[in-house]
Amino acid sequence: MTDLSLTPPVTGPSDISYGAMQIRIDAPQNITAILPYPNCLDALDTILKSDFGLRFPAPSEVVSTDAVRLIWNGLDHALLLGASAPLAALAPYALLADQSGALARFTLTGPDLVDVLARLCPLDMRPSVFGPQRAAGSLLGHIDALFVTSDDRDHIEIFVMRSMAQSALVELAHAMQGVAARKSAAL
Amino acid sequence: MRIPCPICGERDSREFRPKGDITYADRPAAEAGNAAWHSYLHLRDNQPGEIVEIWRHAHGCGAWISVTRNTVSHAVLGAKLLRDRGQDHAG
Repeated sequence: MTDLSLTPPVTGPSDISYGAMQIRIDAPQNITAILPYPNCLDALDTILKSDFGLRFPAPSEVVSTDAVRLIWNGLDHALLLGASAPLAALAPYALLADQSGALARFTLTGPDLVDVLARLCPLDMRPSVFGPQRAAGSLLGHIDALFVTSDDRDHIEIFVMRSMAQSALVELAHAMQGVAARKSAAL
Repeated sequence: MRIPCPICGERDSREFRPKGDITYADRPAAEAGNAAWHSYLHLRDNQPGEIVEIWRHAHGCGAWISVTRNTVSHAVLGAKLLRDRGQDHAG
């Protein structure tokens, strides 16, 4: 029988470090895109509440429990992460699309986070502007990306289309290298 | 240039893609005739000053928006969700 298990989006080492910065290639996870049908948000919220203890996120919001996360990913569009339960109860109220194998997920960690992303992304990533539990779609170089923060702002999650994963890693590594070189030259 | 997305707030223009004049939001009926369709597709005043255009927050939230801007001063004066116009839209 055909093996449909998830495989990593890129081959090679699972993390890359330059200076104080590290990028980790995260293991694939169950991801479902949820796009509510018109006028179905209240009904959808009721089921999200009873099945997951969550509500549909407002623009740029992340809502989560210990088990699952709902990340806003655009107009009338959220990503449900970590849910292995059947989602059939949501189907009458929203378009559901399995994105588990379609998205690659990276975690960028370190004190120079803002400097590294400033080289690639037009968003202001300073914690005072882009706070905890936030999500925003933007660009990573020329690549569409979703940037997600958790409670702790020492790291940031980056989602890109799987087909762009290798390019995104090259872009991030290059930016990390440049920032590390500047920091060491300044000493 | 910064564009105030009604969903995401003020964002860099690199995240947006222009579609064209707001005329494209008012598509004639299929049977409206050649004159109406010619006007819809090709005829624009192109006066300098304030214009309303259709843009899409392509690399952000994906929303189609109407952006009011001034072609003389380059000031961006505002943006609204296109679906709130309450009409059928092109694109």
